[in-house]
Amino acid sequence: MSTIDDAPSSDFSNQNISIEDVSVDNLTLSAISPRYRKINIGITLGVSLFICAIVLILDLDIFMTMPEVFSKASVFVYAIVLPIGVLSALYHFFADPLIKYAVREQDVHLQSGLFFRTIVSQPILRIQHIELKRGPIERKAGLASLQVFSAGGISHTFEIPGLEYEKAVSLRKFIIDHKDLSLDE
Amino acid sequence: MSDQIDINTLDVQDENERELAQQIASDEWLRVSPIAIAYFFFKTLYFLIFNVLIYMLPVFAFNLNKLKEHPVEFGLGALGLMSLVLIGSVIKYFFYFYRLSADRVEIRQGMIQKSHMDLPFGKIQNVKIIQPFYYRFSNYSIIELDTAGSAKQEANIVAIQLPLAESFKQKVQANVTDVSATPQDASKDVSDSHAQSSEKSSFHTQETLLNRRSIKDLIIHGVTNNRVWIFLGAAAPFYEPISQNLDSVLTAVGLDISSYLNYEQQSLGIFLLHVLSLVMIIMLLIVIFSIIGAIFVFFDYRLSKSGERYIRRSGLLTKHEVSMKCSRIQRVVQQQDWLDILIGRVNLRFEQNSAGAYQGDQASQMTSANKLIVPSVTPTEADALSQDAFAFQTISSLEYQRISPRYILRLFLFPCSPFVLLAAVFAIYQATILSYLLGFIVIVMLCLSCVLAWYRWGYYEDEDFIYIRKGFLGRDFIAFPIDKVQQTKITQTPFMRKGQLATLRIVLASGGMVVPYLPEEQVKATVDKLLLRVEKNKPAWM
Repeated sequence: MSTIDDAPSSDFSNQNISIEDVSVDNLTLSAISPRYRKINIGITLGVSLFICAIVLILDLDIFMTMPEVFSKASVFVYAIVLPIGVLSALYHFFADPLIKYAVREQDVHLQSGLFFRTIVSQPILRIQHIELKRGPIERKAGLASLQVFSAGGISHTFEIPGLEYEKAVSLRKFIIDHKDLSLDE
Repeated sequence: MSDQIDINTLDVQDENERELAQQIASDEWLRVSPIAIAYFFFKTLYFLIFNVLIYMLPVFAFNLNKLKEHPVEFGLGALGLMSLVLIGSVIKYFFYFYRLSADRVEIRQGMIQKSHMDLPFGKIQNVKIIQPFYYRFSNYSIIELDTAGSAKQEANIVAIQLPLAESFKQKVQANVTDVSATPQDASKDVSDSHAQSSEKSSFHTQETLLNRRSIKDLIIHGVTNNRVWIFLGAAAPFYEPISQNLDSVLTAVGLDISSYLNYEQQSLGIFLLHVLSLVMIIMLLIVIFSIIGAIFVFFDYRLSKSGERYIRRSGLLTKHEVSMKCSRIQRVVQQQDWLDILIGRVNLRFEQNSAGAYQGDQASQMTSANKLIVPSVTPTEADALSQDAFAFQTISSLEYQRISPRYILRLFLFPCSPFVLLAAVFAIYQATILSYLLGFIVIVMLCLSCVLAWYRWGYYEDEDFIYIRKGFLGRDFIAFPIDKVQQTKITQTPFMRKGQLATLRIVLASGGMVVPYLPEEQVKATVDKLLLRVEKNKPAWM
């Protein structure tokens, strides 16, 4: 049994478990912020409504007269954009709460997916560098995404989205302070 | 500049080190010099020119006359664009901070999309100090930091005083054990004479020859592997004269293509025969060119081992020498096309870290240092060479575990079913014996393909290594040490959940690999085993 003395806080699960009986089957998972789902649904619906609104305004010939074809084409735009918006909002509604992460002494995990259920496991030993990313909307909501890069390359970047900022910061600290980070090449 | 303490510009080692120590001790976010605005400006400009404007050249060309008529407007537009870029650069500068601490660099940047990067010194593989032309007249430089995970990532300190950068480099390199041997450095072109002399000297340093390829092997390689692109790439400058003169050349040798392929003057049978023979001639040409390509790149191929390094030398005109440290090899791939399987040959590849991989044409990929290729060896040679690199079992003759037959059904449903449906609809719509026959053949072929793709999949795992077999008409054997694992992933679709199956993905520094439709329990146990091995023994991956 080994413990981490300098574990930053109780923000994340970091149990004292013997390394011999760890399994990805019984991870203690924590949910990401519920605000992440709200933001995603908001953005998806907002963007599709915005596109439709622009087409509608053009269609109503308020600023300029559009050719005949345009009003026919605009129907297709609504018929495509709106359902896609609604469907992806629905997807976020069901899929986002399934995004969960786990932090153990030696590795971090991310479980996600509504149809394609995945668990990605990243040993801390193999982490090359870390980046905390925050867009304007995420900042407003107090969220951040934590990206962890391994030598596996950009396409295999391990990312936990929608973390509460404080949690993201302490998780970053946990990884940065991890003794393995100075071990591996 | 306000945050930085002015130091004497004399290159005094102590002073720089003290300055660096001060920056580290202060633990404060520092701003770079305002000269960084120039860096951001030129970088954005460079991006605009090579990623946006270059594609708009045709638009400009078409409207050249209009541009000539309105030079003022055009000039103002360009000026406006430049000012926007400049404003953007100033903003970037104001939002760019870095912080040095005893064991890592942090970089914080971005106004809208904010990012905060943490780079431990221990993970930095290479430090480059760059002084672009617009920094020449100042005492500033850019520090470019490479980690294995940051091939395309920005990890630069964009404007730092040159002497300070030098001390920084020294400090970081003290942490880095093996900086000189980055994959890019390992490849070099050597001139003929140089190769000979180095060859002589290297035999003195106990270099053992592991494999040679004869011209016969290279001809086999050219036939079984399409290396025609090497030849076509080299012939590119001559395309235009060739195509211009092709017709007259053919007529001169007595072949009048247009009458040869005249559909109206010939019966269908003769016409088809003509088309067929033309196709054959073209195929023959392709094979010949492919052989020439193979000889071009692999002529006088020699693979040798010197201490802990593999060295590969080959090339007809340009001699290429690629060396690869054994410990950097991530995985071994034995690749066989269907023709290779028939005649019993294997292309063997040792692959290392792919971050920063060459994205060149085929010829440069063949000679790239990331993949060390041994062309068209026999299976026995391939197994022996693989076992020279790692303590593998005999890769080609293992009892591979088959993946679940459910995979056949999955392949049939996607991506095959639309084509099956199409073939069926076509057959029923035409309603002739021929159409039924054709539809039947297509559907049977599709089903057989699904079965064949499933049949190729195989998985084998022993104490230290994992072996994967996959393919379709050809087949690949992939083998790698568990110690090299970077990341794992388990994926499960609802369809797989029903059969208690899962897809395993293992990421190495040379890229990711997938084995689909293995038993769920087994996949989880394997992932646990891999994580345990890596986390407990903490093996180095290079």
